[in-house]
Amino acid sequence: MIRFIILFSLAFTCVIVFFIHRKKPFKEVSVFVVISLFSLIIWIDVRVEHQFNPNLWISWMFDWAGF
Amino acid sequence: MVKEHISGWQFYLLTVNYALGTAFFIRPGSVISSTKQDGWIIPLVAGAFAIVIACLWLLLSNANPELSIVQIALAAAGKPIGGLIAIVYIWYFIQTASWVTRNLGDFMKTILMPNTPISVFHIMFLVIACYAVIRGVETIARTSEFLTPFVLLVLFVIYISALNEWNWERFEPMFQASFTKLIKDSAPVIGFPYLETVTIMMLAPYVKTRLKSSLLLGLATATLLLSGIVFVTIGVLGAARSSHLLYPLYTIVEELRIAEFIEHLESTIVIVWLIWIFLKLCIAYYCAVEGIRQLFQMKERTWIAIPLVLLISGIAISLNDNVVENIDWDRKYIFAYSCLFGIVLPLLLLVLSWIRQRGRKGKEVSP
Repeated sequence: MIRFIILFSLAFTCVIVFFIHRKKPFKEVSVFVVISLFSLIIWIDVRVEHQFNPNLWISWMFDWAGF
Repeated sequence: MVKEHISGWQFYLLTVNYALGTAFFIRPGSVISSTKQDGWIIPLVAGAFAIVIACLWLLLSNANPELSIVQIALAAAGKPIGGLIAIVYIWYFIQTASWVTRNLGDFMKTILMPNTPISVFHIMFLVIACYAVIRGVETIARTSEFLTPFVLLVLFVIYISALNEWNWERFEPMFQASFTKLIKDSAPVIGFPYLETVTIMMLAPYVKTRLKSSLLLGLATATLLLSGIVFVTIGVLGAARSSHLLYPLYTIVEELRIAEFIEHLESTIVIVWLIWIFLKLCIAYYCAVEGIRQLFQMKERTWIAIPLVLLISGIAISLNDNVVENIDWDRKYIFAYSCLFGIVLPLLLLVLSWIRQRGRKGKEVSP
C-alpha cells in the first residue's frame, strides 16, 4: 500500500512538472488531476478491501425503484 | 487536432466486433442454460429488437448530423442538463471498458493462468489499448480490418472441425419454449451485447459514408454469428452439458481432435478471444476518452487516456468478487440498466432535438 502510494505520487509529480514545463492549458491539467485522483481513491479502496462496487449501487437503485 | 475519418466498411467491422467481442464467448452458456435446445432462437429475437432500436439511434444521428452522443446531449439539453447526461454516458463507457477488462481477467485467471494476479492481465491489456486510443479511431479501425479475417478464418475452421461430434438429436424436442418465455429470456441478451452497442454511436461523426447500412448490417451479422455459435454449441455439446459450462466454445475446442494427431487447439481460440476483447476494449476506451475530450472541449487525448488505465483497471477489480456474481447481476439487472442508455436517454435526446429544431424554425419564420 505504502509502495503504491509512493509510486503514484512520484509519477504524478513528474507529470505535473512536465505539464508546467510545457505550459499545458489549465483545463487539461485539471482533467488529468481529477481522473488521477479518482483512480487513486479507487485503488486505495481496492487495497483496503472496502471495495467501492458500482454494480452493487446500481442494483440497489433498481431494487429501490422497483424494477 | 486533425479530423479523423473511417469508411462504412470499417464501421461495419467495428460494429460486428463490438457486438460480438465478449458476448461470443460468454453468452452461449447463459442462453442455453435458460432456453435449453431452443437457445439459438434467443439471439435472433434479441437481434431483431436491437435492429429496431438501432433505427432510433440513427434517427437521433440524422437529427444531429456530425455529432456524437455526448455532443448531442450538450446541444439538445443545454450545458447543465446535457453535461449531466454526457457525464452519465462517459461513466457508462468507462464501466463497459471495465467490464470487458474484467471478462478478460476472469477468463485468463480461471482457465489459463490461475497463479497470476488478475490486475496484471488488466493493466497489460489496458496499456496496449491506451496506446491504440491515443493513436486514434483510424488506427483502431485499421487494426480491426486487419485482424477480423484471421478471427473469422479460425472460427470457420473450428466450426467445420467440430461437425464430427454433431448430433441432430440434441435439438430434440424442438420449439418447446413458448413465445413469452422466448421474450423473457431474450431480455438479458438485448441488454448485453445489443443495447451496449449504443457506445458505437460515439464514432458516427467519423463515418464518411453508409452509416445506416453499416450499423444495421453489422448488428444483423453479429446476430447471425451469435445464433450460429449457440446452434453449434447445442449440436456439438448438447443443451444439458453446455448449460453448466462458463465458456462452452473453449470446451468444444479443447476436445477437438483433427485426424487423430492434431489436438489441444485451445490456444487458437484464446488468441481469437484476445483479439476480440482488444478491439471491444479499444472502442469502449476510445469512446470514454473522446467523451471526456468533447465535454471539456480539449485538444489532446493523451493526458485523458493515460490516467484512465488506472481508473478502468481499478473499477474492473471492484465490479464483482467472482464470475458467478457477474452472471447473477447480468441476469437480474443488465436489461434495465442498458435500456437507460440504449433506449430512454436516446429517446429523450431525440425529443429534445426535435423541440430545439422546431423552436429554431419558428424563430426563423417569425421576423
